[in-house]
Amino acid sequence: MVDICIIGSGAGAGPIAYELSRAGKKVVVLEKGAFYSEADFSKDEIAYCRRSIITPTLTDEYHIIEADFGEGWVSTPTYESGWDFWNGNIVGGSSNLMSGFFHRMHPKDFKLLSHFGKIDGANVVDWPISYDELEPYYTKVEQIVGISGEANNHVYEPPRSSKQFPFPPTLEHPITKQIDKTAKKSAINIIKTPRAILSQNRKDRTACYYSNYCGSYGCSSGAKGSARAALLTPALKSGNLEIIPNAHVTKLIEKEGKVVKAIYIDKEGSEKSIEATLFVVAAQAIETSRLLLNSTSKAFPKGLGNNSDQVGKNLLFSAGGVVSGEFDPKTIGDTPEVAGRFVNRTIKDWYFLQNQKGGICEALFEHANPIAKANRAKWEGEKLIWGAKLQEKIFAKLNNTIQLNFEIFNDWIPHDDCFVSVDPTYRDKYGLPVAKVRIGSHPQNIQVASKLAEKTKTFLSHMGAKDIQSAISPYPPQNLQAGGCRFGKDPSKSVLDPNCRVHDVENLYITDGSFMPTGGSVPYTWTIYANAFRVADIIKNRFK
Amino acid sequence: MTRRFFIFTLACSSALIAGSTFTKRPEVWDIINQVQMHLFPGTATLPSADDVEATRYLKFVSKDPSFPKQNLAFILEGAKKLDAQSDFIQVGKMQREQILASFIESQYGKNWVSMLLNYTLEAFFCDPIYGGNAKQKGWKAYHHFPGMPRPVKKFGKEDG
Repeated sequence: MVDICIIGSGAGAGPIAYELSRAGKKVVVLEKGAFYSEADFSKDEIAYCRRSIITPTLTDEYHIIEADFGEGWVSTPTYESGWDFWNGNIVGGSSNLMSGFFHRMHPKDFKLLSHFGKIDGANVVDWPISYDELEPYYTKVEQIVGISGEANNHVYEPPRSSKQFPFPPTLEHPITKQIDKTAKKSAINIIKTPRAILSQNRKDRTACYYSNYCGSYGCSSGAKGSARAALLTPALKSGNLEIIPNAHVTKLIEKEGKVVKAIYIDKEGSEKSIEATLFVVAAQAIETSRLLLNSTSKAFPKGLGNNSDQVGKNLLFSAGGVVSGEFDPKTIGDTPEVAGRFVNRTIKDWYFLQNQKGGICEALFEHANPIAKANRAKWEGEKLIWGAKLQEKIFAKLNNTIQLNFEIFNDWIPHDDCFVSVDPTYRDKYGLPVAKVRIGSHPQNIQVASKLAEKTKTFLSHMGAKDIQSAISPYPPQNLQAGGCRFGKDPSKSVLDPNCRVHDVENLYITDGSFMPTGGSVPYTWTIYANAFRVADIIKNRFK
Repeated sequence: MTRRFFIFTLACSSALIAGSTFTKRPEVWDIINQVQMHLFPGTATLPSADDVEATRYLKFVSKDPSFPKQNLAFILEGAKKLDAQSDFIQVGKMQREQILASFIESQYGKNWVSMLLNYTLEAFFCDPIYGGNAKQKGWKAYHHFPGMPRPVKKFGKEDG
């Protein structure tokens, strides 16, 4: 019997393990995947970008995606489509693989309904907590996880309780000069992007060495603020934390309104269990909802915490897309020596549009991965090319052009056609129902993203970019998940109370992005970290 | 039935089912190799599929559990179909071009060639630890700088 059992080990789990183990509580983390350290990671495109090495094999464990391509809802297993919704099943979760663009949500993001009113066909609600309640924890993340950057003077930057970031910005690529010049001419107040990447050494973690292979790869220096490097590794030193890798949790056992046991299957296929005083689930939004739905009992016949039919509902992704433009590397000062430096620029001027929430446009270079770049070159529209023509096109792509992307992030509007359910027809290799994910997109997702894309295209054009392309899609990015177990004061309309405890289950908390009723128009990780630190304080107080 | 007799019977049956005489069909991996060489013949400065050992690479990685089984089955099946529809391996460059152009008119053929392009490109740019990109010929010819650290183990952490 331990004090706390945490299911999952990513950004929602790390702060709980860090704070509670250091406060003297016995903590066990059950992680579905393996335990990789810095020494295990490499910049191997085959392993980390082109195979399911750190995610399950889809024929063994898959999702059912319900999409409407214009002819009604169609269910497709991901082993058929190849559209993989697993993200980083290793200790530290997908925080190992993030690019680390860190933005706080704006105070108005906590009260979208109050500020912008009702949206037809949507389930937008205010959060039960305010920005002011989360602000100290955003600051805590800056210090403990380690965020580099420069406090920006921008009208839409949220207020800060500390004057400056604890680490100076990471090194910048020379293209930033051209971006800044264009922004100035266009009267855009472009900001420097805070990054969860260390620009200086710190205790057991080494500063970024600018490998040019950051997003989608594990960090070999520990500079990236993954839950593993920043929180779990130091927490292990407390002697109070045990991490059990390769432990796939299949069910939570509930008795008299409390979870008493987590059942899991280990690497050898044996069924085991952990008993604890308190349980925390942070398995990433889709799998968290699935675990609750599969954890039925007499008191919860539709799944744990699901007596109001809210588990899995109002799933969120991030709306938006990518606008890209090409440059001649020579004209922007690109050389192999500076290729790994960061762009670190965000357009935030369109965070709020007239009577409507907008979003951010995050600048970054196309990932360096040569196989992915070369593979895209085989297409000329719908036509395949090959031979010397293709080989020369690839050479030109890799040597004569560099692609600057602006990733657009705007709110994924919560609505009735985006949710997680389970269907006993579809089962994984363990015999458990898999998550069935309906991915309907509210019309406002595309409408707002298109507005931002048009503005970004103009910006790239002013920069002198060639071949400007825009890819705005109603389909979700599978790596940006939240919602499904929204928190709120009313148990009939939410899964969690404002402290992120499951209504009606006395000792069960959820601390990944599932709690979010709306997502803001920034990547979720900083907010997930901050909220998990907030819940860690709440749990600490319970144990006093 | 002895094993030898069984194999002989099986060989005869296959030939009869195929409706052909005893014409020997090429080995499937030879067909794949010849298609890869047609797709990536090399230029004066850029290596060919054989230069980077693309077929050896594909044979190797397709044995790993991380390689989708259905993809390997599709690659082998597609090669056999191409061979059954044409004498790809026996004709010259011009005819091979026509055969492939005709093959990709079907969605099946287009998917097959696209997949073969994909895995052949992997062989140009993968770490040589996987058996492709022999002597780093792909990286060198395309002036590519690999990310550091390079892998010392194939397919991530072997004991994961």
